[in-house]
Amino acid sequence: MIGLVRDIVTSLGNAGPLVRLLVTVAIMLASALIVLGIVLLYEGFATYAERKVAGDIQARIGPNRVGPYGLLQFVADGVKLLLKEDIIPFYADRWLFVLAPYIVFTASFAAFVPLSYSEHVYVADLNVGVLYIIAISSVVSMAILMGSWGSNNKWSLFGGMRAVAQIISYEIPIVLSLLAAVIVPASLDMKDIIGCQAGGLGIFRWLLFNNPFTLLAFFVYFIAAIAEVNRTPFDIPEAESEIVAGYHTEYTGMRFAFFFMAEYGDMFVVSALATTLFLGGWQVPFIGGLAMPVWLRELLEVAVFFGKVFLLIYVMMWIRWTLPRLRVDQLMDLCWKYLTPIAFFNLIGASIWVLAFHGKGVYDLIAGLYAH
Amino acid sequence: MSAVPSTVHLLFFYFFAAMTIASALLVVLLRNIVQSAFALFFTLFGVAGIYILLGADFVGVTQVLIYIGGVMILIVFGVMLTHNSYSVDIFNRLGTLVMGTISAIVTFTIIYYAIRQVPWRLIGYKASIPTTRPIGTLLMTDYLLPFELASVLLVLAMVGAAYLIRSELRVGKERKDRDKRGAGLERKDA
Repeated sequence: MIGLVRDIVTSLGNAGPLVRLLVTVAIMLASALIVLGIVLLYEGFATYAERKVAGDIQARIGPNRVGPYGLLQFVADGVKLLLKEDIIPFYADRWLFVLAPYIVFTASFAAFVPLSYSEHVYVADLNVGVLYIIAISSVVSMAILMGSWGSNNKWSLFGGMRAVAQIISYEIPIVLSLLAAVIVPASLDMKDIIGCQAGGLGIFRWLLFNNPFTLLAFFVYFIAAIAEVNRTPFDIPEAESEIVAGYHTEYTGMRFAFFFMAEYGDMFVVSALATTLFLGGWQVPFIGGLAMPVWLRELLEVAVFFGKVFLLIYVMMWIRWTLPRLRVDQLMDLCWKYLTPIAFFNLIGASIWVLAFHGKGVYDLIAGLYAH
Repeated sequence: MSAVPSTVHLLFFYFFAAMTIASALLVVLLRNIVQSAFALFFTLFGVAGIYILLGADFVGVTQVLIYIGGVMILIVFGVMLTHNSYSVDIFNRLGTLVMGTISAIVTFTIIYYAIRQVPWRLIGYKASIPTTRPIGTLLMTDYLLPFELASVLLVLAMVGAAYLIRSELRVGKERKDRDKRGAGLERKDA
């Protein structure tokens, strides 16, 4: 998208500086709005899918009243949330209470920026894409703390403290397992990471299959990522049976919806990160090497990317409606006594593998055996 | 790329600069200590934005990760766990106001002359050059000793924190044992 901006601005030639400025800002705003629209649409359908999956697993039907198959349920929900009374508790810290939902949503939305949806469809190609996503999602924990303190409610504060403790703890196995994958392409750029997974029928060069350590790292990452987005079985920050609704107890209407949408946005981002780093990103399996028109290839790549991401999101929903919630001490045990040591072991193992085999994966090594 | 910043660059620079300065003023001037801790978030974020505008994307992102994701949270936790953090009003007495103004002017003068003394070399805007690899290489070659010393310092701090917590646990356990023994003795006497 930045490349597009540069091309269009240079094509303007001798236009005045004000025109250039306006065009640049207009393109930036337009791209942001396009992504925002797609994200909101996805979040709407994700809430519908969540309820349908829940219904399926609990042998119910789920939403089926609004529109065909209840597909428009999220529109009804959205209108309802918009129309609800906006309550700010009398003893709340007004500034912090009002500001927190916006920061949560902005941070979760900002994480979509460096994602690469196909070879040419992306918003910005950042050199530090992976690190950027990790950094910007850590802003979420700050905003949760802000909202929970601002609510002036002990359940909110408990929920906020739990959320922050959990997010900070689980960030360590997440970063370590991402590092184990990132050292193979030796780049933090989404484009390079996906580029190095090309070939091998579009499947066997995935970083998931690169070496045994990245395979393990994927599972460590995925478990920790579920905890990072506060979903069951790791949803103690909003455990209804213990602390009402956690950090968003006092929020109503649209402000509550911002927290809610941020959760679904985060789900997409962590799944997209897993897809990019471990599952080959937008690389099309099997027929990726065939010759085809550019528009068809791009379309196929976008479809494959979203397909992989939605598969991971489905697994998250499946886990949510199948497993019971962990206790606080069990949660911390899992992070510090199991996931973190495994992630460290992975990182060292993957480094040794990269040094020993010059970054070649299992597939390349086996293919190399038959090449002679 | 040109040495002259584009209008968009300037616009973003002024945005982040204004954000940094305004929120820094809030940190100092707000009466509510928790609110000033949260205002620091915007200060740190504005500084990260300026780093990125300078082409130091890695440093900018690390600033967000370390300062907002780590240090900020620690500060806020510290403030929240402070006794009476709800009602503490930071009251600026006249004496502190005078001393503060003097020290601020002195600090500003020193920084101003230091900035004027340095012969700055303009390298123009090269926002898209990857900086991660050179930073990594330099950390592992020229700056290996400072890098290792910093990590040793961090390990020391961590071990120290763990030791303090352990000793508190030990003292608590001894006290509990003593209480238990004391209770047993009393029962025997009775």
